[in-house]
Amino acid sequence: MSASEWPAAEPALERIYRRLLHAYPGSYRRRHGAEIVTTLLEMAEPGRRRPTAAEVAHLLGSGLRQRFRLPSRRPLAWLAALLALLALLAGGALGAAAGSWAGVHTFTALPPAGQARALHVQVAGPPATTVPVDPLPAGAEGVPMWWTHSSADGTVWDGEQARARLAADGWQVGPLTATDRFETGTAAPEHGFDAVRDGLRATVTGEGGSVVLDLGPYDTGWLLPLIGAGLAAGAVTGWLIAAAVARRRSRPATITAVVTFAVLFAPAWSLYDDTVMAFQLHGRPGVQLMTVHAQLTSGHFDPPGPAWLSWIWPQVTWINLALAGTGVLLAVVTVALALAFPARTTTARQVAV
Amino acid sequence: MQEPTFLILTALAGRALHGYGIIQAVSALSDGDVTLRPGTLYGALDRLAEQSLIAVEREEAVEGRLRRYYRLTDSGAQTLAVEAGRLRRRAAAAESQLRSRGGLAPGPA
Repeated sequence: MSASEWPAAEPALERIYRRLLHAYPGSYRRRHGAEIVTTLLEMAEPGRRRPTAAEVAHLLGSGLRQRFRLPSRRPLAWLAALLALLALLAGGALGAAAGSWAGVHTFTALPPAGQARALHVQVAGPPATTVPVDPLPAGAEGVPMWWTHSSADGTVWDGEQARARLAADGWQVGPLTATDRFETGTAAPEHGFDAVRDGLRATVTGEGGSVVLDLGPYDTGWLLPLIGAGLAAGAVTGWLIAAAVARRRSRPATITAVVTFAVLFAPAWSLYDDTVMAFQLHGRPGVQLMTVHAQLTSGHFDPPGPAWLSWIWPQVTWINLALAGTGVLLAVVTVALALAFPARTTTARQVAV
Repeated sequence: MQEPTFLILTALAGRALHGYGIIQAVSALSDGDVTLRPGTLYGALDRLAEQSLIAVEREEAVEGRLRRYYRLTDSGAQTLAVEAGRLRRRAAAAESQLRSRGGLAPGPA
């Protein structure tokens, strides 16, 4: 075949086609890029300088679809599908945690301890004898809070006056209601109220001369949407990484992928558990805001994974973080191995685009 | 088997063709009903090659241009024959039903 039979191309058109091919995975582009461009140029009427909008959409769509595609050759197909599904689940769990972390960062910052102490004095009113200020263990549920307590013997806390004092100070004060937050009760009735100002919520409870104040940020409304968005983005990313690894058909990468999922199983389980809780318990009165990322940063030991697996873990607070971190590291190793040791391709020689 | 796949295998049954040749052949085989777009075509060719139904016969390359000629493999020919038989039986069943309905003559007017 003589060169004259090859399509004469407008350089501008050819350049745009080659640029659009970057929507495809690199390996696919190297294998088919040159022949796709040749076909596109053969189909283009003479003198055309730009692709049509439909062509652009078609090439971008085909390229993206190719990025999501898994190998269809058996017996690799079912293994690739299984690993991609696991990657989707693991990515979703880590994404939900990242979304939760981002969600909490949209909240108002916790004020310094001094402010919590001053507010407590204001709430308790005279004569509060002791005002210890203790931060709750940073994020038992991932949201930092101040917890303060005072007790004045022989006095009875007046909730209505406390409400009036906070209202005068610009707080939006809720009604005084009977509560049941104290574990040990006295003869005096326990009651309390909520107040919000500047992104902070104060939950006040009093019984006899004892007063407890919880002060922390409240949800800006971004927490659940960001958890959901993080889950979706993480799941898609997980699938895309698995598809990219599967395209290289690397045996060492397959082995590390299996180890990766084994390591990520328990922390991913826990993260999904907390994701469900975060959605279920959100907005329930008297329930502290639940987050997902707290599972990784918690200051107390929480056995990762399902209950039947809990006996194998050392009782250390950082076990979930360690497993998730190791899993992510192994995922990086898997990708590196897939890049370094791809299976020999059976398709004819590759032509660079 | 989807229609584009069936038509691609049919186009390659007679002789090896390159991408644009397949697009033209499929269009002719379907009386212009099916116009394959390059993204769809190469996605299908990649999948069919993975399943060993087609194979690359030869290549022609000039200055970054590449024509890769694909041919039907024996396994591809067998798959196509099975599918053609299936479609023939379906078509025969449809025509038989139409005949029993009466009044409507099967086949082109």
